[in-house]
Amino acid sequence: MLKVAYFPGCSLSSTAKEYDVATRLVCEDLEINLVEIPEWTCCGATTAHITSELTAAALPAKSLIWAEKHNMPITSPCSACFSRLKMAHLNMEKDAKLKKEVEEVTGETYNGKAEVLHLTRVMLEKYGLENIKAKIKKQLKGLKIACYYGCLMTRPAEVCENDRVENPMIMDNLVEALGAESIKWYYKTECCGAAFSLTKTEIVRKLSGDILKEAKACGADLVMVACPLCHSNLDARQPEISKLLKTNLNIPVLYFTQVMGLALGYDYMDLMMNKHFIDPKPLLKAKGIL
Amino acid sequence: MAYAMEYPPTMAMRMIQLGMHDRLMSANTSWFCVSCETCTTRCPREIDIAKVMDTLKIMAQAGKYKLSDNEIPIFDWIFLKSIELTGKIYEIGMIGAYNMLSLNPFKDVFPMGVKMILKGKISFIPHLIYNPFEMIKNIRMFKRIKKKDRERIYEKNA
Repeated sequence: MLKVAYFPGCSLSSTAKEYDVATRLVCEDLEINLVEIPEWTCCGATTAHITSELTAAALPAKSLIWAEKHNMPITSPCSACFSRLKMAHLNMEKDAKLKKEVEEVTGETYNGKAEVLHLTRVMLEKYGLENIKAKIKKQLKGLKIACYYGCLMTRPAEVCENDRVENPMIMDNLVEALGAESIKWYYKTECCGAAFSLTKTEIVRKLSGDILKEAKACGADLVMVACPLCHSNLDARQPEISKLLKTNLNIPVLYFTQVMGLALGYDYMDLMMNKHFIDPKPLLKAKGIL
Repeated sequence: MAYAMEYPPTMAMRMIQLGMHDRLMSANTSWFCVSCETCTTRCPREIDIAKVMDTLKIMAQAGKYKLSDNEIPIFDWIFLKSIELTGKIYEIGMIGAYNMLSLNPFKDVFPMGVKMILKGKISFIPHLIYNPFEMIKNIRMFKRIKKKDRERIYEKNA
């Protein structure tokens, strides 16, 4: 049984609750033991690293120290949290002065041994795609999925240890393994507007609108994401974007663990798909998956 | 994001090399960077452009230059205050406070906000650190960080 330290992140207890629920269900099936870090604190996201380098390293450090102490790799389903955890780890490795300051403000020592992985990597590499294939109960035939990676899952290349920065395939391979069709499209890693959701909403509407338009033009039935902020920008803001573009986009946006959950036999309510703004039920019923 | 910047990243890097900091800092360039890291990944000269943008913002917020954007610093202040007091982000409190302080009280309330509440996506009760020791440790950590950052600014300005 694979034991990993689980850093859910702030969104997963509120606006992305369905992601947390789906992730836990799927990990239970795949015998991945998610050990939630007790009393974890926010990773700081974009705000911490544009305000203070020390805050940006100290906030994730608490979780890294816990994972190191308990000898577990640490994972997060949120791409931003994963990026912050990894960057804090790498910055402390490169800069001994920063590490010392972080240890002074947190009151604990960090030996730089934590292994930080995105959830997709834990499932698809540590657990293995072949093992996932063996557990599939329902093939998702006829479903055309646009895999949207966003920014922080694949960039920067040294942080994500990724050699395919412009055309990543990790989620596409998963989709093919689940029996669905992963469409070829060119906006896989374009930014959705991320943290500007509240402060510069016009930018989010434009960037996310471009992504959704492109996904639809390339023939996607739905968009699959691995980050709660991307999901919020593409799903919760979709009605506004449709209004802006004077068209009815109507593309459901699902988390990758929800799509996996469908293949593992869970249903609409188990995976909390009713919480999405764009309801995937009509599409999934039409394709015979629900 | 470069389409919305007064000086796109290539010009910004050149301005820094030529010592044109004042002009660059009073433009919106660094504030429109959302740290998507595309520039850092693609730069053929291997400049960590996103980190440079971060540094410009840190310098502006440390009081060295006049802020050319007020919304984002307000948002940042609320965000970090929420983490200091609860350890996590208290979303509805944060959104409410941001709307009030940016003088736009009803932004996103209807239809998005209401829909989120009806779908149970936003809770009115904040998620806290329940262990009082951890809570105290958290607040103490923020105090120490503030002290260290202040010392760093005095050091640089001296």
